[in-house]
Amino acid sequence: MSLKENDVDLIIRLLRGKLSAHQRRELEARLASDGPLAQLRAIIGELLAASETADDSLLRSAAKQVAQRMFEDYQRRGCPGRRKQGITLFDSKLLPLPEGVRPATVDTRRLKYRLGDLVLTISLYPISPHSYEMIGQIIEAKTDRPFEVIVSGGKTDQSARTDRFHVFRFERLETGRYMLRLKRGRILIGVVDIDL
Amino acid sequence: MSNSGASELRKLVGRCRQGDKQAWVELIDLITPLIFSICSTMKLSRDESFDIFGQVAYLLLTRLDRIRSPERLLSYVGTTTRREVYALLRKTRFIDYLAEQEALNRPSQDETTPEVLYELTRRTELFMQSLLKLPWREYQLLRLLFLDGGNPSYKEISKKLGMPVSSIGPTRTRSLARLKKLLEEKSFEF
Repeated sequence: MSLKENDVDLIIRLLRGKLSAHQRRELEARLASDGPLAQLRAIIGELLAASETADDSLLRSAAKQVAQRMFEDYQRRGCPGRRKQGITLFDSKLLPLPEGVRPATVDTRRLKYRLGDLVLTISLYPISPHSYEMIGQIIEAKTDRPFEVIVSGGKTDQSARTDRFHVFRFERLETGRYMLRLKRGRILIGVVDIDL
Repeated sequence: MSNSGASELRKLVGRCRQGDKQAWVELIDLITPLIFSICSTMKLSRDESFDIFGQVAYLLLTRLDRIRSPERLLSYVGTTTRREVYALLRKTRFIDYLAEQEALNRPSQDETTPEVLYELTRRTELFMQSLLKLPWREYQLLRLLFLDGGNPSYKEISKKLGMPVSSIGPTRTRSLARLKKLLEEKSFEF
């Protein structure tokens, strides 16, 4: 098949809805009878569809930011005292807001981390301009024994014990940078860093 | 995979293993369209797709040492994404049922077996694999023109790739012709 640049341009414009009605009819008539040209249309269509399924460049940018943070967390495992560094999997703060949603109406922030075999999910609810309630849950724990969660970084350390659903809660945390440690008995399971 | 494409990917994976964050970001750029395409095919929400992306990226990061050849990278990503999507659909199906989420057109239990999931997303994976078989420069050009969004001008592309503006059009045409041939070799259904 010998492709012409002009054909490629025309097909791109067709798929982006930028042809006039007359041009569209002409091109579609050609596509109906020209197999290789129709295949080219399918290929360009797949390429454009692949870019659209990442929603938009903001979502792709959010994915990149999470991936970067994930890499940093992973590298930190080589540092002294950070062998059990948790890995960031998800942070809703990075996601672009859906169209039409104002930032002021979105208050909960959701985070997700991998700590070894466990997954830690955290929801943060603002209770004042400078403080949050934190509710977290440990997922995939193959034990009924409770965990202890210690949060360091504020004026004093706070600790909480998980309930039978492996849920824990901190009523009030001021804005700032915190280190969260997850323990079971005397064993440290993992460490994550959170910016409130 | 073209020699330059395979060697570029091999270098990229090697640099990631040595702790090069920029290489990791470039690798993520390669696999992101495939992951989100599979999620979109299965009608996942944005949050769910983003969640799946995080899981798959984590698994890839922690298993980079086990990927022996770059040709297997996309297959690994495709398989892992499908597995995570399947697990999510199984978990949420019951919740959807209680919440009467039929309006979301979520596939039924019969429709989302691993085999069905594979068939639905195989086309996307075949396409992405063929794309990565192009010579690296051609792959980068098609990616900038089509996959990255933003509709860059030829001047911007010329600056990014160090390619003369006058050669972008002919290279684009040549790349698409080569991609078509690669897809035909994989019995891609147009």
